[in-house]
Amino acid sequence: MKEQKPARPVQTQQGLPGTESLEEKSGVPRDIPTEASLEAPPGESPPRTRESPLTDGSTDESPLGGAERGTLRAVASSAPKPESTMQPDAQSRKGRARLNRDTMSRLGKTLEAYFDDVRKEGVPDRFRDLLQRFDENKDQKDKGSS
Amino acid sequence: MTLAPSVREAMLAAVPSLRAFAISLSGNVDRADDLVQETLLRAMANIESFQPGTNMSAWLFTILRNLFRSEYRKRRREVEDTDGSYADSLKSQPDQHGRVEFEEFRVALAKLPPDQREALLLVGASGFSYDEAAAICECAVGTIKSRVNRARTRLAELLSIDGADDFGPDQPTRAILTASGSR
Repeated sequence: MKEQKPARPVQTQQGLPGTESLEEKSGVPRDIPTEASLEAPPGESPPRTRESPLTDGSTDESPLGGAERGTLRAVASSAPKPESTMQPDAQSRKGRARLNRDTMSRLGKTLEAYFDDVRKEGVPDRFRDLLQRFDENKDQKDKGSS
Repeated sequence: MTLAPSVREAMLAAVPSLRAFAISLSGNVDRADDLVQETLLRAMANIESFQPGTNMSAWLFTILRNLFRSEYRKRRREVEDTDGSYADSLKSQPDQHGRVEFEEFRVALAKLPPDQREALLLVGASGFSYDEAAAICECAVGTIKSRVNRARTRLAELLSIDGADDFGPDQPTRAILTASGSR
């Protein structure tokens, strides 16, 4: 954790997507001033944050920084519903990022091998007979009706 | 009217994949073969509704999927599967099909939600396009893509596939992969 201290000022200047995601894992909001990010633990920075409710505060795991703006926003940001709808998205995004081509290829090959295990048995006689009997019955019915 | 030879051949050609799909859905060979038989009977009885030139395999898969879902719902109602015990029984059948090496994969597959499992099986194993799978499942293409993606992610988690060289503790599964990859 101590290693993150020198890294944070770089992150706030560059703002690269890749580095952001790494930093976000540490729970530090993006637009907190550098000093604040170095000193204040995540979740205890409301007085210093000036984030817009339409940007960072509404998209990330906001550290409930809107308490100073009134109870309405505090209630909204702490309400379970938005979190519960956002969480699966975030998880699936992480999952998607983690599933690389190699993993997909391995899964695909396993699936195909699993299916081929059944496919190579071909068509059991039971089903050939079924179609044969169907035709014979139809023939008889057609002859009987004519 | 008897079946045209081309129709009959198309039906028979689809049987191996239909069986694989049915076994993967139901987790039981006998039930799967009954499903395939019922599918073929329904198809033959309604053959006039099949449009020549369209995909026979997709048509049969649609019938089988609908049969399976209605049977699944019916059985759940009959046994009042309030605690999910019937659903659990589908996940681990004693007379499952195939080599023992696939056991871990089969168990992981059975743990997927039904919607995700069928989407993955249709696209990932049966060779259908997203569009065809969406038509079979009667949902939007985007829904199928999402289901397949979630199924892959979940399956990778269940099989502990984290990276290129890590394919979980199941050595036989790894052996299968190596063998299938070198074919």
